[in-house]
Amino acid sequence: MKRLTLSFAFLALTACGASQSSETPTAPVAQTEMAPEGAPADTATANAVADANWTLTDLNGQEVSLASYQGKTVVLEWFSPTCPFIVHAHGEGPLKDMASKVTASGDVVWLAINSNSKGSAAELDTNKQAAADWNISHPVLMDSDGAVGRMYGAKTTPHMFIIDPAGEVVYKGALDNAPRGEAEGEYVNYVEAALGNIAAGTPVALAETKSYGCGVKY
Amino acid sequence: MDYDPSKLVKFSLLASTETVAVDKSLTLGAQFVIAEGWHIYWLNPGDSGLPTKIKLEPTEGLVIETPAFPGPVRFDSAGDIINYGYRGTLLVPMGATVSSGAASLTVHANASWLACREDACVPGKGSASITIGEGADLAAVNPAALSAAVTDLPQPLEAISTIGGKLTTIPGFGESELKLDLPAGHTAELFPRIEKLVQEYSQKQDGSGEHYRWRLNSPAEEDSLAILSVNDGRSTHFFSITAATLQTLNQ
Repeated sequence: MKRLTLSFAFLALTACGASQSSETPTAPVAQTEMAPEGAPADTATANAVADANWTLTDLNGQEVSLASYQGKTVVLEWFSPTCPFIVHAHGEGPLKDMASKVTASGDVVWLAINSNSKGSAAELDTNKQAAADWNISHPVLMDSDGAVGRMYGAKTTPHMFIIDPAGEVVYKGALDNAPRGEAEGEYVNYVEAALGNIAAGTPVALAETKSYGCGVKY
Repeated sequence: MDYDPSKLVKFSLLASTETVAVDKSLTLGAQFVIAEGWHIYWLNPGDSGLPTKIKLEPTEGLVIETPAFPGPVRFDSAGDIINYGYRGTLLVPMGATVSSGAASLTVHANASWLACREDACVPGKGSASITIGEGADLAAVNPAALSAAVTDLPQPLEAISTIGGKLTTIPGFGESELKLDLPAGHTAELFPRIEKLVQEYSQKQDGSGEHYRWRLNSPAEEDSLAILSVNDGRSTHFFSITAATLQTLNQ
């Protein structure tokens, strides 16, 4: 919850992530500073993300632009090589081979983005080592100033976003319902489910969940 | 960098008494001693993190109530990341009643948490047990700490009048508006227990004091919706908001 001291007018915001309901969320996201005065925050944020055409640099110094994947489904995974949730997911959990499986058809692109600016998680060598240790073949992009992370409102590692071929963010939230492999009830991989919906040409049934994990250290 | 989880957070159990007798009421406590610079999380951790969990193994001869978490504090990080949790020592009291004539009772509990600081997070787990009655763990008997922990627990929302607060609610279909007027110099903070609780929020000051307004989604269930904290300049007081209390205030 953001404290607003200047105005008595209601400003739209939410305290934290999404409920895990199947309804399309209607409450706005907590990014009021991106909204023009008087405009609903969610509209401004949604437009900012839909128009996103960012370029980041991968671990080999190569530039990667979102625009180059136009027409494809793009999965964004917020990444930190030292966060225990990422360490588990890539080392022994669902991210061990998920990216290579879902990108095999060529219709889906998987990009890991590191928006950390603090600690060894932000160092290039730590990321290179992790990418090698976990056999990551997709780009790991360094967002050291956090501009892309803030644009999407990425809060945790992992925090997952799926952009559909039309360029719309159609899923944001947790990877699954099992932080460090510990599911509450039956295991559900939300990203896999959403990708299944997109591949089938149906709307993403669960478009937003509450992400878990380490906070992104902007 | 690797950290030893067992050194970041030390989990143990406390009891308010070393003696047992049938129908005797006592307080147990789940204590987390958190290393300086680190924090663990409330039941709603906020934008990141994980809730701290306490799981009691069934103890024959003892009925133990649900752990009562104290009011949290808020941590703000860059990137609009807001978290709710605890620093220092977290003591979670649990009421209990002895239901058998056993000479001795041993309680076992497991806990899990995520300890974080500015640049790192480390998950942790712990197990603890405590014996009362014959062979009691006297070092873990701490009635003063547990009594203070119970006193500091969130109070019913109506009790806000005792610190000069005035509450008004305006019910709506599936939502409520909560208005809180406080004396000058007081500050309030709402800690949502459930997701997407707060639709809108505003605050203003004028000559008569501090005025807060929240528009809340209010499910019909009597679940705990939020904790309201009010600082009166000297100390912080916590109040529990449930769907039921919002309805009561409306009458």
